[in-house]
Amino acid sequence: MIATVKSYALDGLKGYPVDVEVDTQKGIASFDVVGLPSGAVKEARNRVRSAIRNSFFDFTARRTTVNMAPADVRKEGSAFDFPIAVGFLASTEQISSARLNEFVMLGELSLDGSLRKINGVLPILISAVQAGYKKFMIPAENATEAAFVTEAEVYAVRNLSDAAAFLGNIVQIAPVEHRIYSASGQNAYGADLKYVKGQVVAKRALEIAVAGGHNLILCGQAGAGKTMLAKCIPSIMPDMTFEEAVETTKIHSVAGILDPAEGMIKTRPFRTPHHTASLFSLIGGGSKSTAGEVSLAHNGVLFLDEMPEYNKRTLETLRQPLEDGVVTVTRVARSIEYPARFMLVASMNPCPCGNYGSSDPNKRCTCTYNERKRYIGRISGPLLDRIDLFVTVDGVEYDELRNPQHEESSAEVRVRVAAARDVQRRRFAADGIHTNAEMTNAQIEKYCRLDAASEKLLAAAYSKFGLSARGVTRLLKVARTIADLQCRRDIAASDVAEAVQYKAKERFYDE
Amino acid sequence: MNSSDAFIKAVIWLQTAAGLGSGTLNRILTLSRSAVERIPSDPAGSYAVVKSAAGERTAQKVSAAPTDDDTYRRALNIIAVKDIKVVCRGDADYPEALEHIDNPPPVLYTIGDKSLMKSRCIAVVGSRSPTRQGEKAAHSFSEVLAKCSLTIVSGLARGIDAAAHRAALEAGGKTIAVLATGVDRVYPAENRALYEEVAAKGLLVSEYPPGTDAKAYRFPERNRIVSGISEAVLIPEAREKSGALITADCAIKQGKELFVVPSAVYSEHGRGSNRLLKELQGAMVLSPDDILESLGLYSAPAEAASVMELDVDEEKIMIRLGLGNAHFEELLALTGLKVSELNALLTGMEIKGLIYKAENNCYGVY
Repeated sequence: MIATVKSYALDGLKGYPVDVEVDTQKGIASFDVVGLPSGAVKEARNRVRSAIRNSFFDFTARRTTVNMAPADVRKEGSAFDFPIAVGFLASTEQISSARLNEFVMLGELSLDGSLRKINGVLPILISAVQAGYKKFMIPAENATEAAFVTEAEVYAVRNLSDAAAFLGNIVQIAPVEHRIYSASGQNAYGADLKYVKGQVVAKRALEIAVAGGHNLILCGQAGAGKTMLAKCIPSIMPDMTFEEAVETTKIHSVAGILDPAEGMIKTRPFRTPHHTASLFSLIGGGSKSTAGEVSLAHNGVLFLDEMPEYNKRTLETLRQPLEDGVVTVTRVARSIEYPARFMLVASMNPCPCGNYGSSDPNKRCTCTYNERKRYIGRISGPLLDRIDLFVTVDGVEYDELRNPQHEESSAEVRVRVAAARDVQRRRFAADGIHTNAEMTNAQIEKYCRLDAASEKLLAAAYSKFGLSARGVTRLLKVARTIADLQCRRDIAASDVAEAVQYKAKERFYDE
Repeated sequence: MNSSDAFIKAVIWLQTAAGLGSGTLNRILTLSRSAVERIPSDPAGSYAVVKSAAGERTAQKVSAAPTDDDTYRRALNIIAVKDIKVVCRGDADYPEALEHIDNPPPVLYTIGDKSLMKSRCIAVVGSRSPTRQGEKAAHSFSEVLAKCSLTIVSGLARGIDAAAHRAALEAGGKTIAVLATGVDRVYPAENRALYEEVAAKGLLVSEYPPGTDAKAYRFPERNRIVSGISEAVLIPEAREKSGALITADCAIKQGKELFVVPSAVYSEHGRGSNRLLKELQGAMVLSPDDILESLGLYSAPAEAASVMELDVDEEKIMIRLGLGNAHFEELLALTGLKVSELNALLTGMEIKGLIYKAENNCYGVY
């Protein structure tokens, strides 16, 4: 007879229902899987056979056909092992098929019949709940992740025998207890501004950048502390809201890097791809259209250490996500959109040898003008356009390093940042953007009005520093954020003046 | 009187096809003009004539040269296309001053206002990687000198040279760039905009035929012309082994005035110019007026310096920076301001032109 089990598959971050039909007939022994299965799905039959036998069920040779509908979409992953096994047991009447259609079933089988964790449970559950499905049977290891979907009734199953007993109403399994999201409030990366001595200029820049969602470049000699500063950024970012946490967790879940014990990403991601990262690993794509680093950094920070060392073409691909907050990954048959709204933080040396501008006679720069220009030129103009703050990070003197003087902690800075974000949220409620950095020219015109004194100062700065048109745009956005940090409704001349300190200093940039 | 086309072509042919340098070419040019004009059409037949003027080896070289040559044709072509004016020794346009130096350039290729070569010129040369002070000196000295109708001569190089040319152009004055490449070439390429501007408002000049590439040995050779057409040479800043020191040597040999701006005692960037000062103590200048006075020119009356109102914090910062560059955090401790306030204050001071932002979050005063 035929048994049908509901399961779910993922296309990017969206799930779609898959019907797993199992038919067993008398005839020559065979086990065929049809409906565009990929390698891992085809191999399911071997796992299913062992799991069924080791769970003390009967797997006598029969002619078995498994069909997965819709038949024209390629099925990936190992989450169909469990529905296929249950379908087989129901088809051979070893278990009752009465309750089969109540559940959506997901899970990979181990040879001993236990269920292993799968990727993408959260996005599948969210899609399925939206599509009207209520009850789920999933591996026990994925229970924590599923617990945050409060609309779903989730049954965590340890192995095939338990599942069979449950479906046959022999034992009862209690549904997973729902959990309520609360931001961890803790700093997962262990970095805190209070451990950074001195560096007041850079710290102030971090505060402004995070407050306004501005992208940032830290430029300084090797060993000046650029990476340490960058690692402090998540610690001053506001807590993730539930919606943000869900968005980020979905991506991490699909990528299979979610910690099953946590079940949810509660701190903002801080992604640091190495500079040898390939285009696909940064942006996403490849044969399985997986999410790239830009998406894994969604709602968090993408930190590119030594930015000019990255492949130039790879860097250029950052332009779309920086512009749109999403990245479209296209493969043969379909294209998938992953969210990718992140704060870009880059660090770089001032020159290839890293010593340019050093006053230390032991660290003299040996680079020529052209070498320096070429090095800095590896970051293209259009990319620089998306970066609002340029900060020089200089080394700390020894006595400053050992100075026990109290430094402000990340928590204190975070309070101010959160207040500035609130101001922006209220201002942009009708504009569909979140932060000052996202303002369009029209919005800048509307929200960055200058009084006479500021206008005069901007004009003077324009001619004095030879600013470009885009330089002025950047300056205005940053000035708006500085005003928001002071909770000022209008931009003051001092805000514009401070913003000037964080403009691109090297003349290469403005040319 | 200026040279005929045939004569000019003969000179170019001798430079390109026969590959003669300025020394041998000068000797050949002692021949009558008609004799010179005949050489390219019959190199072998000119053996005896050339030998009489320039010796046997040169005569062999010339007689073996092809009558038609790629570099020769290319030079002629560029001269026609780019409207390059050629001035030979003995022409009315040839600057008198160059006749008096060792090994005068036998021919000058020019783009722009060639009458400038006969104006009162002063060379401003120095380091290609100057400090801010050096660049500032080059700029402000050149500006004043150009306003007093001196023509600023330099080499279109990066750093001091470019600053001097720019200052002259910005002041509405005149400037000459003496190139070590063909006059049609821009070296270094980043100075293209400056090159175009000098061509339009000043003069580009080179002794090398058009199409000549940059070669290291041509730069010191070129320097004798820089000092040669000038009355005096000003060195705002020069490193230990700077090409500007070669220009200074030429100037001394040619009997020109030499002016040097002193640098800080431990400055790497000013070691060459400071050493020069030690040898020639009279060369030291502290302001453009020192130069004008020594050249017998009066400075244009200086604009009354506006007295700038400084507030307490600005005053404190100015006094501190007077002692040398200071880091942001030091100024923060000094003034007791908040980071945001100090940022704003420093920007204001930068805009007023009181201070500048140096490397590594340090600030300095001009």
